[in-house]
Amino acid sequence: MSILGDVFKELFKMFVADLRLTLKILCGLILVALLLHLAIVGPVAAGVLLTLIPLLVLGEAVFRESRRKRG
Amino acid sequence: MPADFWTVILPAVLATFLASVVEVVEAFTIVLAVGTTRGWRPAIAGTGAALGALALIVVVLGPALAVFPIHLLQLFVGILLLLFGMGWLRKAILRSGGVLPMHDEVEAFAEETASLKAQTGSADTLNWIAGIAAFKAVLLEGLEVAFIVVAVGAGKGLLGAASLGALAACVLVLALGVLVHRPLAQVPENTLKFGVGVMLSAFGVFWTGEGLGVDWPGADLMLVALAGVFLASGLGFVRMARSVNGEKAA
Repeated sequence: MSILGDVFKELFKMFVADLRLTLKILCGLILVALLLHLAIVGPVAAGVLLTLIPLLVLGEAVFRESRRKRG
Repeated sequence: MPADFWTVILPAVLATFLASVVEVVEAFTIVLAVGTTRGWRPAIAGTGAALGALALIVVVLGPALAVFPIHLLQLFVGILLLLFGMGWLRKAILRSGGVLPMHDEVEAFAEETASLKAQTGSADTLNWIAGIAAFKAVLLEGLEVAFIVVAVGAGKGLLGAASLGALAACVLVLALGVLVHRPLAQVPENTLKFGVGVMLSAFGVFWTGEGLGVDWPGADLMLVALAGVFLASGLGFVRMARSVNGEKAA
């Protein structure tokens, strides 16, 4: 049971190393999908958003963690 | 040579190869600790059983995913690859920026050795515990490699090529490990992690876009551009982390 538990923990950690980062990226992806579906943005603009959103989220996560560690 | 060799196949195989190097180096440290502390029999048995379980995961899950429609599959795999790649990239950036400590194989080896030596019981019990330790280490480290192989394989039908990339890394690291017979602390684990994080994030964004119906300019060539954007941004974030952290980390 302990090995199985560790396997599930490892699987969770693979995608949720930082809960806020994961949730923000997922929200961003949902937003892009909605904008594309409702034809508010075109397929090329959606690609630009898909690239920029994860980068902004990553930058924020690095900044937040760096500040937290600095105390 | 296939038209997408340089833009898709090579980066995909390279990503699985490099990710596999990172994970096998970490698993090898534990297997080495088991082998040198309790003998090579439990170490090899545990490693073999874990590799068998991982191969089973890839063999069963890889072809099973092929039954889904390609756009749905690319969306699903793309999101998972993006989350996974961003996780690696974040950790590699924080380590390079001096925010998180670097992974130390020598320390991991010493900790595992101490833990194994602290166990008490009959010789059979100790061998069993040692074998389980090797099994767990290889299985847990290998799960990430198995995921990358299955995801890359499913996203573009590269299961065989991705598996070969992972297997080549496994053979290379094990051969090196047998040769030097000590933890492979000189492998630039964080640099490899950074590179794999960049490549998987690029694949993740690209395939998520394909799944959503995004029209990527330049088609597959866009993957290279995306990797460049993630690389440049990642390096920029390292500088930012150093500056915020107030350290001149390596």
